Amino acid sequence: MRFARPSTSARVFVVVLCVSCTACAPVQPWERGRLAQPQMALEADALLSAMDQHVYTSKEAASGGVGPSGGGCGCN
Amino acid sequence: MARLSDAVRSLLASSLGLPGMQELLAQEPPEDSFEYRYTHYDEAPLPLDKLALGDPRRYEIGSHQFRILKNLDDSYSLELNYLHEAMSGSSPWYVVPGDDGPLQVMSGATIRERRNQVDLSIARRKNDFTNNGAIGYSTENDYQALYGSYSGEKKSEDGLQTMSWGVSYSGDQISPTDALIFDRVSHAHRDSISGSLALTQTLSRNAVIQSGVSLVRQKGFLSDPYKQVWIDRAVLNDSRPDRRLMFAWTTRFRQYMERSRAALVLDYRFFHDDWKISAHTLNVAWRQPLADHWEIAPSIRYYSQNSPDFYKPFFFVLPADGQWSSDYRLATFGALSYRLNATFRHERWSLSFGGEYYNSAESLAISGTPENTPALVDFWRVTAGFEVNF
Amino acid sequence: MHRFCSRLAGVVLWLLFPLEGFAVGAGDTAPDFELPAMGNELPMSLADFTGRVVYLDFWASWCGPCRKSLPLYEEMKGEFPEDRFEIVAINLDEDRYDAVRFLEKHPVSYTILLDPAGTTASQWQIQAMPSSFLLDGDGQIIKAWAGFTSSHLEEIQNEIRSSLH
Repeated sequence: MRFARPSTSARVFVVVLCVSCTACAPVQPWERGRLAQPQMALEADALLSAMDQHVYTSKEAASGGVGPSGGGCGCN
Repeated sequence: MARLSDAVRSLLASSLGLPGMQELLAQEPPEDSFEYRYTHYDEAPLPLDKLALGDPRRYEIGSHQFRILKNLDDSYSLELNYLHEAMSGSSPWYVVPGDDGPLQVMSGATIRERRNQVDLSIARRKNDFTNNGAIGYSTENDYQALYGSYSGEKKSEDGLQTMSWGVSYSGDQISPTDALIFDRVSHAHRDSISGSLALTQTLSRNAVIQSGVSLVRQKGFLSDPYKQVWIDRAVLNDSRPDRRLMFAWTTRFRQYMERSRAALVLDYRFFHDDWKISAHTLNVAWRQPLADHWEIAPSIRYYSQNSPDFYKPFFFVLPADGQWSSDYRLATFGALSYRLNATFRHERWSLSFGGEYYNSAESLAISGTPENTPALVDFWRVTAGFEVNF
Repeated sequence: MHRFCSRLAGVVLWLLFPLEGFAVGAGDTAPDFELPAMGNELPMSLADFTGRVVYLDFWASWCGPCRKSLPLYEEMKGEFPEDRFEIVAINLDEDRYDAVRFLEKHPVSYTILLDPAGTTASQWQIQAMPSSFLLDGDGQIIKAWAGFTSSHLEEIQNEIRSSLH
């Protein structure tokens, strides 16, 4: 079976995945303290993230990646 | 204004707006809380050497965001969001050829508007599943949007992976002001449907990655009723296709740095649509805890997009396909923004402050045809907020 | 790319067909341990608690439900006779200073043992944070709980009450 040659972005993705998975061993439930730190959150601040999306989507052609947004912020 | 309905909230609940790691780890839902945030947004005036006519002072917006989260019991929680914003300023109208390059005509009047938006969502947690339903409504004098969404997620047995998904719908009504005077469409409608899917994977004790895709389908009046285009000495209304299919792939990576206890944040989004716009967004941040309660987070965001075929500052020949726009937001450009956020966290409450400077320019774009777009915008943003947990 | 595909397939299968975790549970003999106690650093083992019913809780300061549960356990402790019932909380913070800081704000009177390396947690095959166990006076596990919600509290109290009769 042949796979198509992976694109650059796909390769970068895999490299990032492997480089950071130092031990690649399963993480035990009691070993998740660092992941639980506030600075490690995927979304640090819900209101700030919502406002960021709103501002950038009003000024740029790309949408938030999560769907239509802009909310009538005029922002001409 | 090419306003699109704000279904951010509805889809934030789905894949690409997953709750933070704490919520993924906790067996219980996040604590009851009340949050408020104020943001002031200020655009730099149009440089006078790029101005053809009109008021060069651009947009200024003050926004208030409120959010209440309440757990009804061990399974159900409710979330209510309210946004109020006041906007004023003159906006780009159309572009004319000048001796030294394209010149922007700005609207003379300073528009002053208010917008209100509210949404309500209900989440249900059971075993490793969470299901979330939301509805929302946004209204201002010339624009109303109604939207709804469903999203869900499932954690794996060992808690190391989470799969999330969502769908949403939004229906918008546009009734531009002064429609008769300026020969604008008096009433229009657009709607959109979207779906998303994402996967979050714990890579190690120190790293986590999330990757997801979304697809959005828009139909209806997608032009900006307040914008026009100079075509061969006539000025015609902005005219875009009545359909748009958008794809985005977003990856977010977090790495804990042992010595500094900081988190390295790397986010990348690839965007492409059937208007042939491609965009890349890269966000890099360093979230550094300081002393016992503080966190300082500087970040840089890079953005680049290329324009669709129907974009040009002005045309000398009428395009045969009936599509044209001079909206600078469709131009080829790149943008760099520099941000700094500071947060003070106490057990039951937190305060945060932040600022951003955003600068856009054609020279920053990595691909696409530069057209000497005159109205590319720079802005400042400052924000302050607090959160209280009960 | 191939590794990525197989990894992705593995994740999808993992999500569709979750394997049951096998934590130590009701009916098993409690694995023994020897851990330093917070404060005096004297090592303690299960033998120190023979004859008493023990509520054993594995917790860490970074875990939300754990933070909620500790003060509630302190309240619960007062309802039962001290000579017959004991609460033992095994802390799993990698850095004990995090536990110290938390306990300074929420002091408790029951025994805190320290397991920063997670060896005891590993022996007990902890599947969730927090995890708690009710042990009878002879080192047998009566019941186990994974996670903590406020509705657990009543169930825990009932189990303790019936085990003391």
